Amino acid sequence: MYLPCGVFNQDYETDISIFRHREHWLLAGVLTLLFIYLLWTANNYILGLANLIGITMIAAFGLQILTGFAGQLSIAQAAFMAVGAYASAILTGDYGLSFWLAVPCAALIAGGVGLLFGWPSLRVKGFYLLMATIAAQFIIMYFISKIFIGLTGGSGGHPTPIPTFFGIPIETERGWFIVITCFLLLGNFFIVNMKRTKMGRAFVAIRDNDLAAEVTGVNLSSYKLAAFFLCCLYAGVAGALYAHWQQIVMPEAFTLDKSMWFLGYLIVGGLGSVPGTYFGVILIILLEEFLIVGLSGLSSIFPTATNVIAPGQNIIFGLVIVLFLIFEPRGLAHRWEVFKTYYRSWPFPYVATHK
Amino acid sequence: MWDFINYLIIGVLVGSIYGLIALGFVIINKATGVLNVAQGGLVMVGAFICFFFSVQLGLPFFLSVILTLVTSFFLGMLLDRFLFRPMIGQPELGVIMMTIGLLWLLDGIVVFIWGPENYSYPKVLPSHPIVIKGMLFTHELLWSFITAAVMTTALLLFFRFSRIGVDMRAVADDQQAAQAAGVKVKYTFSLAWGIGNVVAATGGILMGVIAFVFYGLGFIGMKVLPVVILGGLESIGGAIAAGVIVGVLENLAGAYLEPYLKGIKEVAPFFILIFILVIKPHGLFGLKRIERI
Repeated sequence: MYLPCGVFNQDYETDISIFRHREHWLLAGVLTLLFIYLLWTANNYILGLANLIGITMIAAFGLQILTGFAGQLSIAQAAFMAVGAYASAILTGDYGLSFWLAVPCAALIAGGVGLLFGWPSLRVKGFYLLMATIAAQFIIMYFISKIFIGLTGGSGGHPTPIPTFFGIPIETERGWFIVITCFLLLGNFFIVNMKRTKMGRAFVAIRDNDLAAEVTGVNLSSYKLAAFFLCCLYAGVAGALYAHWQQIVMPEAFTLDKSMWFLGYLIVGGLGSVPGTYFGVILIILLEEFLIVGLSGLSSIFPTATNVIAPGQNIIFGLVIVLFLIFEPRGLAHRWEVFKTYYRSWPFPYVATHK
Repeated sequence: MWDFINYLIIGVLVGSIYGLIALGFVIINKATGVLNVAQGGLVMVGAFICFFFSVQLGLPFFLSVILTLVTSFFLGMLLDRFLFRPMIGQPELGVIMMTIGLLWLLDGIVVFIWGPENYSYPKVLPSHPIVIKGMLFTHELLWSFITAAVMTTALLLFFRFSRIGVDMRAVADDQQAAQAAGVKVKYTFSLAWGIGNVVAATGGILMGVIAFVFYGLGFIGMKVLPVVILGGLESIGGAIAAGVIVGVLENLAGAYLEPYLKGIKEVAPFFILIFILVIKPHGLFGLKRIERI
């Protein structure tokens, strides 16, 4: 880890603390101000967008653990979100469980399903694992939308009750903004710390070379399963939040395309980087939103403009992925590192060694 | 009893098309090492290019098929030059993501130009079915099977005996050694993409003849992934055999399990996929790679 001049590890507490130097506190302050500003002034549209970004981010964090840290490809994140969403919807709607209990339960159920479909990862990796997770995506969504119709409501969807916080109902975008931000912070705190525990380092060892990791004493099978479990835990939380935020959960929200988007967020943001997850998710969701708003605005001049929103999204998304892979395969996180190095070494850029 | 045989034969006929599309995947993977998730997208684009020539330009069907194949060949070469050559030496995830990005791009472009409607080709085959002992077969299915069989045999012979085919196998085996022996590796790569795309477009046209030309062909092309996994990623014969197996199993599942499990036909290949990955991960005829640290 590269630290600016004058920051020393003098005792264990500073060594393990998350906020290490002035810029960290500055960033935290700016983000807090942004949060308060949004909470204070933003309209429902902006807050809704922020909520969508927050929920997507939580699920993307999960995939970051599995793919970015542990190096296991997965293309079923949306299906795991669906498991969490339906679990939470059924637990609260049909069994009357409180939202605050249903979210952890949904996360655990999604984690269990993740363990089941992570099982092939013990024997295969790379492309084969990707195929196993594509199959997981189709099979999970098949069971949800065609087989357990009595439980899930089939294609009509399953409504979810409005959760309350000590008697205060959470139904406005503003209320959800607070709740989702809390969950996001919790998830972020956990992922940052997990990266530097024994488990996180074992994950990175597996990613870099699984055979070498096994030889040096990393228990491959249990850590791979743990990565799947954690990934689906995040997906479950994100799905449960999504279900209650939307007040109804439909199978169309969790298609194969959505799962592919999650891998796209990581590629654009940067694999294995926590800030990269933020960059990727925010960039792509904002691009998508600009496209929708722009084309809807154009529809007054060209009435057919709204017809091209869906293909336009695909084209833009495909282009972003392709261009990033060709020109910046390490993602926006790498650009961020370059910027930080530039900032630290300014005005003597030739001092910088961190490339 | 005749019912069962009827389902079986229809499964074989449909499976031969799956096998053909899987063959395109295997050719690209064999020569370039790219695992092309976008094979379904290429299938769809091939079907739409043929639609463009035969209906929108009004050319005779057989002429437009030939034009489609030529266009697809050059399209494949372009894809190789601009998307996959920069990815040589990149990690596996990057290359796979590139094909996923390509899939999105193709999907978006096709829907952008042609919209989400169903189209069909002009009728060139008689529409009355062939009846043998009470079993019904459409002409389309039969001709598709013949086309797929001819194409597959031609490709097998091509890889076995032609100079370029041998070059491709050499490149697939060891790029550096092949280059040292005088094989033009980059040229072989684009040729492989060209041929792979021609095969995909043929599959697309056959799919379009049997059913409709619509953007969902991309999804049907997804079924090629279970096929290649079952057959082994590097095996041409395996792709054909697995195509037939998946086609038959899918059709039988659709016929006999449908009353109990609604819509099982669409996901049956993926159940097969999970099953193979747990039982025999490298497929029936795939190579088992030995890794060294």
